[in-house]
Amino acid sequence: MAEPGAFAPQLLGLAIVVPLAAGAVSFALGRARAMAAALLGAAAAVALAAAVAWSVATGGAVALDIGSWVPPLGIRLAADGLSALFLVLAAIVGAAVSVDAALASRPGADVADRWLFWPLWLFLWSAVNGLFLTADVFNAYVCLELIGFSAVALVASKGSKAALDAALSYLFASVLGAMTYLVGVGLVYLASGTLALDALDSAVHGSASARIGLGLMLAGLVLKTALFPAHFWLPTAHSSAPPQVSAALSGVVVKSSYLLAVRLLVAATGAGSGPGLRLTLAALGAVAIVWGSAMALASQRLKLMIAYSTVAQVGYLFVMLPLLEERAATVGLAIALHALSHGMAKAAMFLAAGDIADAAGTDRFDALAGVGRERPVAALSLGLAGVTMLGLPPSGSFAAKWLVVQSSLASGQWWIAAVVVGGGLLAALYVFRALASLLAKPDRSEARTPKPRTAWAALPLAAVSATLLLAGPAISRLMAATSLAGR
Amino acid sequence: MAVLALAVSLIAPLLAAAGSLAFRESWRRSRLALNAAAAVATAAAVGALTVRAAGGTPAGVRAEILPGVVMGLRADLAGALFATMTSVLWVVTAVYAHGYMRNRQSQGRFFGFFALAIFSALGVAFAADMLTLFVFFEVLSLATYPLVTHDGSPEARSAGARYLVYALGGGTALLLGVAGLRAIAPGESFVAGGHLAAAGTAVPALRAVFALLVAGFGVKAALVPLHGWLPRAMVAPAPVSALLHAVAVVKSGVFGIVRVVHFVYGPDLAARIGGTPVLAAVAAVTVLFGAAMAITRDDLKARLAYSTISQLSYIVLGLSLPNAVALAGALGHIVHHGVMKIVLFFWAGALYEELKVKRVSQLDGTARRMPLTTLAAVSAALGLAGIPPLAGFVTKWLMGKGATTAGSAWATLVYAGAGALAVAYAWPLVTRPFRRPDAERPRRDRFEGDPWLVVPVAVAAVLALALAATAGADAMPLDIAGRVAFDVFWRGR
Repeated sequence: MAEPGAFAPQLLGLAIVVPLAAGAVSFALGRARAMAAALLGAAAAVALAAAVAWSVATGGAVALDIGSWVPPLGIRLAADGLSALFLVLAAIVGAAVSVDAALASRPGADVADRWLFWPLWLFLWSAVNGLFLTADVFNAYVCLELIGFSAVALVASKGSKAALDAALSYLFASVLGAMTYLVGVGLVYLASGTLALDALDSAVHGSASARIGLGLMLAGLVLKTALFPAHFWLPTAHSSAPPQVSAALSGVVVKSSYLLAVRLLVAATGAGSGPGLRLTLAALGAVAIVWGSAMALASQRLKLMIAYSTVAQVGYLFVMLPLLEERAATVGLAIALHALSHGMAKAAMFLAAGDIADAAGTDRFDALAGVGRERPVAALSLGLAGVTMLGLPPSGSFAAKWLVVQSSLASGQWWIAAVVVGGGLLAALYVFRALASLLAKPDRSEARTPKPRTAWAALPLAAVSATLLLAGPAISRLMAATSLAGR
Repeated sequence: MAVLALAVSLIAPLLAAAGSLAFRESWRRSRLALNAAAAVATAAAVGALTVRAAGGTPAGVRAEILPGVVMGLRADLAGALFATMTSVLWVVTAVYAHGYMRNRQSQGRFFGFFALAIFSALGVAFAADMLTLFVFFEVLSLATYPLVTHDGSPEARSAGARYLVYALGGGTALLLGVAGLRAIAPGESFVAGGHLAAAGTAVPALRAVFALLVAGFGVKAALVPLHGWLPRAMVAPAPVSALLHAVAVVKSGVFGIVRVVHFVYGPDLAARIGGTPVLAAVAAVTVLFGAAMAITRDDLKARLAYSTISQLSYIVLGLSLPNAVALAGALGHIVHHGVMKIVLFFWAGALYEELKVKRVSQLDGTARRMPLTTLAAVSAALGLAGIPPLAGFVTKWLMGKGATTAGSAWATLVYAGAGALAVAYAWPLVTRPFRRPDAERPRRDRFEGDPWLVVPVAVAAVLALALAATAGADAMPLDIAGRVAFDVFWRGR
């Protein structure tokens, strides 16, 4: 008899291969049956993510050397609590996106008549899972490129001029980021002869070119994560894609490159990623919060506002980095809570915005009066997701904020607490502006034609995110199997 | 069993909220049945919890929600007092709201967020520590926003915007205060008489945390100068003004201050760091300001709102005094004022529904048309003015007596002066309905009004009279208030 958890390592491989295979099958089956195959694959991917999380929670971190070749020759996959939680995020958002796309699947809709959505979306999912699980910086590059190309294709899939322009700028940023990262990987490899994440510290130590390499890798990832001022591509790309694509991009994809950046920072703590670098990233994060919120408030369109809100929310993920060294466990938990909570809420906002734009025919604020009554589920989802954007209890981002405020008070870095608390108030401005426009009485009385669609996928996402504090014990347990303390 | 009652008291309102939102707009009777059943179940569960707490074994649960972050619920006597008032008045309001909302739009949204507000008010009552209380308090703040803006008119939206500015500002102060408190006392949870030790913590830190917490709660308690949102929020439908903006929401703020002063700092420490003397001064100003403003308001709901501002600070003043009798009177006034004020807001809502009367100057002759409702309102207005032997008199008398005993003659004078002002603003409410109207008479084609509105008014008025009649009896709110005050001042040390 195999011991419990004996198959856990194989699950890691399956979490990448299954969506990839399902994507290939749905491509091969063609227009008629693409959706059925893709939905099956999505269900399997969700089950696999749950299984990985379960085995990490019960048995600790797992690793898989594919074909039993050990690094530096073989490909290693590894899952600790943080990777497991990000897999779960991808699964939850992925399930909602798939369901929403299936519900939207009717003639003339944004997505469904472009059947290429399904294979591209599953390729994207597979690549994101790969990035969460890889223990090797070159394989991470491969995943980054796969994510980039499938995401760009998805953004372009709408086919409008705005979508193509946005996709082009997204392609540029994506390729530039990946190339910068790749050059960095090359420098590190030349200096050290290793590509393994956990061997990076000793490799980078003492070698100037390896340190430059590390810097380039981080710069590439910062561009892909859209940290201010490298966010220029995000608002247009995320706001002009179909709603399901925007949800996946803002909810999951930006977090994938962020997770790799954190891993790099932690792996190379001893060499060049010390306090100065973290402070710089945190300062950029603080500016991102202010700038993203201001631009969100200034935007005249709901989807653009949501996209700028992502720029601001990415800032939080970086602002807490200076506390990571001293309080690795607490801040690691805060990172997980914020990424999870924001990922779900932001995906919910985009799905709800899609429904609202569907009802109003546009997502311009000045045309949205009264839509809250026509699409109450979408309005409620936006409101619940707003609780997360503001960091109000009992959302997961409140839990993260609470941990960060406590840590920053205890370590004397008050400014971080001030930024995190102030950022919530800035978010209030744009969230309530959007809600107020939905709840306003319509100026004209003629009823718009009701369309048979509801944001049913958005509501549970937003609700789970807004009450994620209640999942605190489970998330803490997973994070107990994670070490973000540098060596 | 006890934990089950605690669960029921919170889950029943939550189910009512979910159901109200999920039901079709046209399922009015189902929605009424759901809300009424939930309200009755909640009141029964709270009753069971009150019995447990009175027996000295309050129900409670605690959990480590994140590493090092413990949160908990505990139905102690003080919480039971607040929860009893809220849940009993919810039963009455659920019926009233069914009648009042009849021809209004988005009823599912209305009842859903209303029940969510009740849920969070009960959470505030039963929170075992400041962090848990903060979480429920913030949910309460948010759940009330869609109710304030329910109408969707520009006026309602601007009132909602103002409400949010105050609520988010107060919430931020609270967040920082709770974070500071947890930095000083990581395992804090409420203890009658306070748990903070003076030793070992710098006085400035204690002062800063006290100021942040009290300012955060003070927004909801409408302390001057943080009161600006309340009169504007009266644009909300009448049941919201009645149960939330006279009872549950505003008194969550007052209740939070009780928790800070008497269950975290303790009256001695709060006085020693200069917290309660300053709070008493602010409350005294608010008492007089609110009452004076109420006299000048012709709009009925605005007059009642300023009266609420004044009466809330009666309570805050009473609980800031270092005296058990004053505290008992203050806690009792939370309930007594709540019941009287809800009668008056129900009356105002019924007047508007039946006769489109919304100003004090339009009251002439309304008693002939709606005698029962008027009678109920008159009894409540007299009680509010502190006329013996009504409900408002009993608690005000205790607070005044406590002020004298505590040697705060100035506070007694404030109470006396505010009493005179209260008579002045309540007087037109008592007399004008009986005046003969100058111009056209109100139509007499109908007697009274919609029974869905009239019966709850009458029931609430009878409740207020019963509170006065049984003020000395065991297990009545005033008795429980006295036991809480006893625990705070003597048991705890």
